[in-house]
Amino acid sequence: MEPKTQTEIREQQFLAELEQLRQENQRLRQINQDLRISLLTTAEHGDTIEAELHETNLKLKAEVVERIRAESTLQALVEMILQQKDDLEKIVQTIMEHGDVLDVQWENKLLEVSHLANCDSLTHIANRRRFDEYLDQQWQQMGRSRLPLSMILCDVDHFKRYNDTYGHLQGDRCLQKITQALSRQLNRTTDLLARYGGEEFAVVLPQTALAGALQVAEKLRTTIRHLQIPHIQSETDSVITISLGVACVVPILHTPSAVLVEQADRALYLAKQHGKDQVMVLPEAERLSV
Amino acid sequence: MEIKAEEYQVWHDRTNATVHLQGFLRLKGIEEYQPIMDILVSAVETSSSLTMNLQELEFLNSSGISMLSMFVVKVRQRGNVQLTLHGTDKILWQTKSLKNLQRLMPSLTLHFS
Repeated sequence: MEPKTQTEIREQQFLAELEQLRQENQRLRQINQDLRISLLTTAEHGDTIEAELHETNLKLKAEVVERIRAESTLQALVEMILQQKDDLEKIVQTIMEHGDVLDVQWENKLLEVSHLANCDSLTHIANRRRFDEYLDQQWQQMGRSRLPLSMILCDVDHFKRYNDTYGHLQGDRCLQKITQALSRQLNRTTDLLARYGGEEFAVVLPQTALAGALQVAEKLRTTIRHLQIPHIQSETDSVITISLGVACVVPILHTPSAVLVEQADRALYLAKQHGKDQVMVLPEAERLSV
Repeated sequence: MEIKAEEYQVWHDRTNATVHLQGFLRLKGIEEYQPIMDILVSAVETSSSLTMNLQELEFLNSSGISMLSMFVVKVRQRGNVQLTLHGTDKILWQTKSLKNLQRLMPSLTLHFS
């Protein structure tokens, strides 16, 4: 075989290089195409993700706005409920305290009415009703304890004449002065002075024997005399005087207390008969057994 | 507008923007108090200020104070009405309960005579 010439060798080398370059070119083209596809794919993928993110973002923003709105509504609702709770607590407290104060108001009213029911409006001492009640009460109590119960019945002497002479207003003032003077002489809390009738007064003296009751009666008589209330038409003296009947008994349970009043009344009658301005007690034979 | 009963009387004096309540109010429950509440509500609808004269209201039961409390809350919620309560310290319940109503509406004016 004829040896290749230098030129041929070079040509062959050139062709080989060419082939190599062609293949390289082909490879690079392929890579280029792959990269283009890859870039396109990445770009498209990015766009999709971006769109998705954008959409999600919008949704989140809307959600945040909605949540802020809901939160504000909830806050307003909570404030309203708190205000209502506060109002209700205050209303409950108001009603409760109102109930308590009404109780006190009723009680005061009851005390006032009860005082009026037991009080004489002119002299402000116990009235006949209170006297009867108290006498019965003490009658039972002294009866149970076997202790003496005394009472004094007193009457202003010639009081009708006093009224006729000085007028009824002056008569009322005279009764008020007498009441005040009598009250001042009765110091024990258990003693009760009552207006028994027009110008009649009664005194209940629990745990008091006849001697003590007579002493009290005499003190009452002199006290009124010492008031020196002028009474020019009196047949007894020139001043107001009183007559007093005293009675005393150890009450027997289940018998009426009226017997004591009846005894005092009869003693008062005696005092009047014997010239007034004096203290009388029934003769021993006529007294209730003690 | 006026309600007149044996024990009590309620009327609206438009000239002086005053609702007068007098006597003994012992109605049973909020329902029986509704006519009085109506007078009070209509009184604040026609005026920017209202005086309630309670000086001769001797007695008001628990349903009554409850109605009054709710009315005070209504007035406070309106926000544009000056409310004045005119009472007396001679009636015990007024000295206590009217001050409590002021706690529901601090701008409420109290007058005691």
